[in-house]
Amino acid sequence: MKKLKKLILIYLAILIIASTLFQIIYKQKRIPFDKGVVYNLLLQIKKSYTGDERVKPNPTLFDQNIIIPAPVFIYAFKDGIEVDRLFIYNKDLLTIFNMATDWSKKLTFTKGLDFVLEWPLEVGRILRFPEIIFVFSLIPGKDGICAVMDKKDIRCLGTIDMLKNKLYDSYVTLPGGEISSGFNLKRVTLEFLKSEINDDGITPSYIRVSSKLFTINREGALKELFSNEEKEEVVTKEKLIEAGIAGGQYLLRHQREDGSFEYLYYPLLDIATKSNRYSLPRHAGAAYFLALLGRLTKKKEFLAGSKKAIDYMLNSASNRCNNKLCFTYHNIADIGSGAILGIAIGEFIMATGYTGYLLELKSIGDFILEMQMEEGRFYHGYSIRDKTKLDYHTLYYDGESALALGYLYRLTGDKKYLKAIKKALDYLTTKAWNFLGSHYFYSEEHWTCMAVEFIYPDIRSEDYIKFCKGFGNYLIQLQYSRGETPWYSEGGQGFSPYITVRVAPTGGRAEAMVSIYDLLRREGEEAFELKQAIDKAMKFMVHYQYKEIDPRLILMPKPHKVVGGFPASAIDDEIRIDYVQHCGNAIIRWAFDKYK
Amino acid sequence: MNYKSWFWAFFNFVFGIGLILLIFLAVPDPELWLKLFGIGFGIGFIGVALGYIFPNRILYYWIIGLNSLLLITGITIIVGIINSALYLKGIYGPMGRGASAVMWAIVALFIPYLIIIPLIQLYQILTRR
Repeated sequence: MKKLKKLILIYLAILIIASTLFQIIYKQKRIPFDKGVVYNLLLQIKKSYTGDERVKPNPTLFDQNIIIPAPVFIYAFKDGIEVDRLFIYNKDLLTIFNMATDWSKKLTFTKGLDFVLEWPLEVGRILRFPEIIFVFSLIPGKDGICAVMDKKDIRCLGTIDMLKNKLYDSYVTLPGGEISSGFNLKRVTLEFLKSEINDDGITPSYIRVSSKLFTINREGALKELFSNEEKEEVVTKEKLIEAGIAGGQYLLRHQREDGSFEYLYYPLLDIATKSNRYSLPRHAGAAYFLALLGRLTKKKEFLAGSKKAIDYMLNSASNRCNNKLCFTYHNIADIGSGAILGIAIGEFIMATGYTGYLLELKSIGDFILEMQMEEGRFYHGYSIRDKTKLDYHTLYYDGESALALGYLYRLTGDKKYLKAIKKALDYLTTKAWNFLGSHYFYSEEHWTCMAVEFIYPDIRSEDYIKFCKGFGNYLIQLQYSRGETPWYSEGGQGFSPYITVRVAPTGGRAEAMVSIYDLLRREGEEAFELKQAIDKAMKFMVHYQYKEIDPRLILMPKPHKVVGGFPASAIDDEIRIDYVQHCGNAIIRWAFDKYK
Repeated sequence: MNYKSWFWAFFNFVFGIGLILLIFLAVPDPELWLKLFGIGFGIGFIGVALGYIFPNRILYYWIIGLNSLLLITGITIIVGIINSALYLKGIYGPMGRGASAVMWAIVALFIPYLIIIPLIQLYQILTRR
C-alpha cells in the first residue's frame, strides 16, 4: 500500500513538472499590436513607392526598443499577382519602418502596385509529434508557420502563401466527404518550407504565427482583408436585392455560349474548371435561381440566362427513360437532374408566361411519377441500358422531386401531381425520419420544407407543419452565435468551432428557413426567433459575398470575375455554381418575403 | 461514514448532475424522451448520493433498481443508435456514411455512461460485504 502511494505521488510530481515545462516551452506569446503602426507603415510604403518625400517615422509609434519577435510580411501585388515581398524577422519597429521604406522605393518602376501587410499577433512553438497534433496546430486563414532550422535559417509561410496554395484544410477528409481539415503536412514541410528534406541532420522546430492582413484602399483607409468584425446593423432590403442581383450577374458572367456554366472557379488563381463530373442538378439549380431572380427583380437578362441554361440541358443531356424525358450521366438518369430542371422550367414559366416548355415539363413530371414508390419515396436512378429503376439513395432528390411536382400542379392543375406530392411529403415528414436520433440528422431536408410551403394551402397537414417547425428549430440551434469560432461566423451553420465556417450550407438552410417562416406566418404564428435567425444568416452570407469594394480582391488576378460569388468557406476561395444558387436564392427570397 | 461511502456519494452526485447538464446544455434541442431520461436518472443518482450520506435500508434496493434500469435503457439506446448508424450508412452516399460515423462516435461516447457505470455500481453493491 505504501509503495502504491509512493508511486502515485511520483506520477503526480512528474505530471506537474511536465505540464509546467510544456506550458513554458509552448507558451504562445502575444505581440504588441497598434493599428497606428500598421496604418503608418502601409502609408509610408505607399508614399515611398509613389516617390513622395520620405516621412520621418513617428518615434512614439516606431519605437526602437520594441522588437517584433515574429515574421512580418509585406507583399506587393499587381493585378492580384504577387510581384515582390519583404520578409522581416525579429526586428525592432524602427528597423521595420526603414526596411519597408527602402524596399518599396525599389519598386517604383512597376506601376499600379497594391501592398498588403501581414502583421503578427501571436507566436509560439508547436509540437511536431504526434503528427495529428501538428497538422491541427494552425487556425486556417489566421496562422502561418515557420520552420526554425537554426538561429539564422528561419523559413516561413505566411497566411497568404497558405491560402493561395490551398494548404489549409487538406490533411484529412472528414466523415461526409465534403470537408477536409488539418494543414497539408507534406506540401508544407517538403515542398514549401523544405524543412524536412535536409541531409545534414538538422531537426527543425516549428512555430505558429497568428496574424492579420491589412491594406490601404484607394481612398486611403486601412482595411483588414479577412475581417472578423461582426457589425450590429441589419441588412436592408436594398442591400439584399443588390446581393441577389450580384449573385445572378456572377452566374451570367460565368455562363458559356452553350448555356453551361464554369462549374468551379478559383479566384485566387483565376482558374475555372468544368469539373470531370459536371453536376446536372447543380446546373439546373443555377437555372432555377436565375429564373427566380428574373421573376422577382423583373430583369430580363436573368431570364435569358435561365433559358440558355434550360436549353443546354434539354439539348445536351436529355435522354428518354421509358419514353419519358430524363437526364443522363454515364447511362444513368438521376431523378434529381430532372426534378430541379422541372423546378427551373416551372419558375421560368411563372416568370414569363412562356408555354413552349410545357410539354418537356409534363414529360419530366411523368418520369418523376413513374419513379415514385408506393410508400411515397422515389427511385433515385434509372439505368438506360438495362431499362430498370435503381433503388439507391442520394440526399435531396426526394424533396426536389416533391417541389417539382408542386410546380407541375400549379401550372397544369392536374390532380395526379397533387396526389403524388401528398404521398411524397407524407413519407418525407414522417417515415423517412423515424429512426433513433433522426432528430439530429435531418439537416439536409431543405427541399422538403420548400415543397411543403410551396404547395400550402392546397395540402395542409399537421405532420408537415410539425416537421418543418422542428427542422426550423434545429436550424436555429445549429446557427453559430457571435464569436463562437475564430472566423466571422454569426449566422452561419455549422457543428463545431474547430471546423472552418462554411458558406454554402448556410445558403441552402436559409432557403428552408425562409420557406418555414412563410409557412408559419401563413399559419398565424409570429416565428420571431426564426426571423431573427434568418436575418443573421443573411448578414453572414452578405459578409462573405465578394463585393466590388472588397479588400480581398487585391489578392485576385481578375476581380471583375469574382464579384457576386460566394466562397466555399471563410478561407476557401472556391466558388461553385450551387453556392451562388443557394445563397442567392435565400437572399433574394428574403428580400421580397420579409418586406412584402 | 467511511471514505468509500464518501467516494460513492461523490461519484453518484457528479454523475447525476453531469447527466442533467449533458442533456440540457450540451445536446441541442433535446427531445422530450431525452429530457425525461436526463431528469429521471439525474435525480435518481443524486438520490443515491444522498443515500450514501444518510444510509438507510432502501438504498441497497434503490441502487440495484436504478442501475439495472439504466443498464436496460442504456442497452436499448445503444442498440437503437447502432441500428440508426447502420441504416444511415446504407443511404445518402458519403453524407450518410459521415452521419453513420458520427453515430458510432456517439455509441463510443455513451457506452461508459450507459453501460460501464451502471455495471460498476451493480458490481460494487452486489459484492459489498
